[in-house]
Amino acid sequence: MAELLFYLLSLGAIGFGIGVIRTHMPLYSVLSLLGTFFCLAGIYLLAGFPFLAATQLLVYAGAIMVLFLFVIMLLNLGDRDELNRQTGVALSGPRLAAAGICAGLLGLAGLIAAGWGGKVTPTEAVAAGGVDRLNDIAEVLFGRYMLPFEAASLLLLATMVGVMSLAKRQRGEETEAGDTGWPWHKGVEQ
Amino acid sequence: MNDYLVQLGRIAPEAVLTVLALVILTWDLVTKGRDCRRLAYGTLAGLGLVVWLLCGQWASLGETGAVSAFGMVTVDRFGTFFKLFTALALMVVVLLVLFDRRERKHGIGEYYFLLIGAAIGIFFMVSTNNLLLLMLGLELLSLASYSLAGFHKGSQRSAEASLKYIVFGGLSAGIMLYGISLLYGLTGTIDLSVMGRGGEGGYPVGLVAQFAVSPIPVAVAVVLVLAGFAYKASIVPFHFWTPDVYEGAPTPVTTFLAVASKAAGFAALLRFVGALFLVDGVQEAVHAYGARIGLLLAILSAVTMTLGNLSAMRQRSLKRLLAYSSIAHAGYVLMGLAVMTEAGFSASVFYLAAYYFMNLGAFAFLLYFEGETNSDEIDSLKGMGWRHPVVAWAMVAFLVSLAGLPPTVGFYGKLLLFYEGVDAGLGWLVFIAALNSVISLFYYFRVAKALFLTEPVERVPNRQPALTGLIVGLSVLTVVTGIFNSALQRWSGEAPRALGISDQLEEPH
Repeated sequence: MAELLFYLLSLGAIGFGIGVIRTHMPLYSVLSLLGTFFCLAGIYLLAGFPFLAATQLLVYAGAIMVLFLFVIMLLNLGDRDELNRQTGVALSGPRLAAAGICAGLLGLAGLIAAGWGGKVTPTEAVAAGGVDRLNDIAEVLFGRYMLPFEAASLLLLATMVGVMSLAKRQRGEETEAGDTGWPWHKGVEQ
Repeated sequence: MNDYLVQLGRIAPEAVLTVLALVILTWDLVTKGRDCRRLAYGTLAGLGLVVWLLCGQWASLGETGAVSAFGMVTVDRFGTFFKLFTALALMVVVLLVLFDRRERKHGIGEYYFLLIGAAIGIFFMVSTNNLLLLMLGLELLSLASYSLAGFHKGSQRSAEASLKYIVFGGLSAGIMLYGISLLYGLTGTIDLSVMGRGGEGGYPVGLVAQFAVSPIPVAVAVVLVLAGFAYKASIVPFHFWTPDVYEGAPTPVTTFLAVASKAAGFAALLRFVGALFLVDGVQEAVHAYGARIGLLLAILSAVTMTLGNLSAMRQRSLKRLLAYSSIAHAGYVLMGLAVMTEAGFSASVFYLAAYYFMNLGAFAFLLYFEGETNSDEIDSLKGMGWRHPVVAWAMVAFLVSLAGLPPTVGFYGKLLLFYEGVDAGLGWLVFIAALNSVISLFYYFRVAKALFLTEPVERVPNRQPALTGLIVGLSVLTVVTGIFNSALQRWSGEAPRALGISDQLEEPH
């Protein structure tokens, strides 16, 4: 039963994945991606990681999807022609083929690794460690993995500052002192 | 609690940098970006403190001593060596931002914040055996660099640089992460030292066990991870972004990318290769495997230096020329890695140190010259040697060093690399490198020719005194460390010793 479900969910994930790049409407692409995430969450559940499944739904299907939808809304990307015009990149046959070959090669590498490496697996150890309890997760996150956790938060901060500095109001080379381009700093109305 | 403070003390340089970054950011917010020169002075002061802390750390660590902080950061002389150079290079870069005539003086507080953020990334990258922290450090460096490369939003080339950097960077980070995930799947650990030797009682399994049952996935995983490092260090075939990004980014940022970021990529690569294949206690099979990886690196080295030098010959822009020359130098540094011994590693480290001096100088000259002529074409350099004799002669010193001629530090670095190459039986690689040095003479001296061998125009005094002082100081360093190289050689010899590489198993192919 579980095996059948696993194959169904895998097929679903791949099918939705194809849907992401084959549909003509960016909105449908995003919705297909959502489908992929749901299928992956199902696979995590089957593997016995309910917390990971919940995170997958909350973070990817929730937050990230909203972000995608926002971008589509802001750029007014109605259909693929609009997308092509906005980005200047057309999804031509050869490009799709090249992307497909790359994805295929990476997948092949994964298959080879999975097939050959199956003899020594760390899965049992991870499962036995009981990493799926929230207390344990907190302990690991703020104990052993404190530094990477802090590094990740720094990374997000740097990214945020970088994005804001790139996106804030465009000015000429010469600016008046005090006018930083931020709306809440605006000394002089423009 | 006490233990906690001790561990915190070990990562004091990183902590100070983080606090500095936050202070700069808040300061900028409070002063509304009015006078960013003060932010620069603040950054310099903070970096001075970091350098002082690092010097103390270097002194307190023994030659092979390594202590760990929070089980993640390995504090040893190898990491400290690169951190020290990163902090010093960043100080020069901050000075360059200050001296940049084309840069605004207001509302650029993020500039300094992002530079410090990138440095924190480098600090984590060069001093960890943990692949998770390594990847986070690398990404922190990359993400800060993307925004820095596009800092001149008005300029189309700067925007192009940022976009190209993001696309290439995202791709190679993905490839590298995939490799890391395969390595984790194969060995059950993300700690490099455990991965190399294998854990207690057979778990985590380590690479040794996997060589027997699954040699091909191991090769796939290692090559994928190497690709990520190759991108950071702009090694062929992951060098495509280099000329465009270097050309489009603001010159101080280019300096940072060409010097600190590249050296960090190499430092992490040295630690990765060393910990996986060469440390004390790895089995014969792993060592033999390392030799094969060494051969791969040797081939990459030959291709990288040849391609870099041949492309540099055709450049009309000094900035692009220096970009290609930095690709060529990545090839030289890779020679020391390909040797796969501690001596080879220390030759690489020495060359990286030399690379810091001469490239910081060459890019500082480029900034000076852009401030004068507002162009980076070699043609507009003509006669500069007579109009600005002091900086021009300093530039000649950098060019001589980049070409690898005595009496500069570049010459000595190449000598060490060639010596180690011949010693390890890589005669063919040394031959190619020597040929390449001859090719590089041609284009480096094209720059010198433009400077001096054209009609002397009427002399005018130098108008950027502070920048002139910085350039002259760097050129003196380049020459002096070339003649009195024993101290630098001792330090660069001690740095890789901390990696615990054993030479006993070393069998020349």
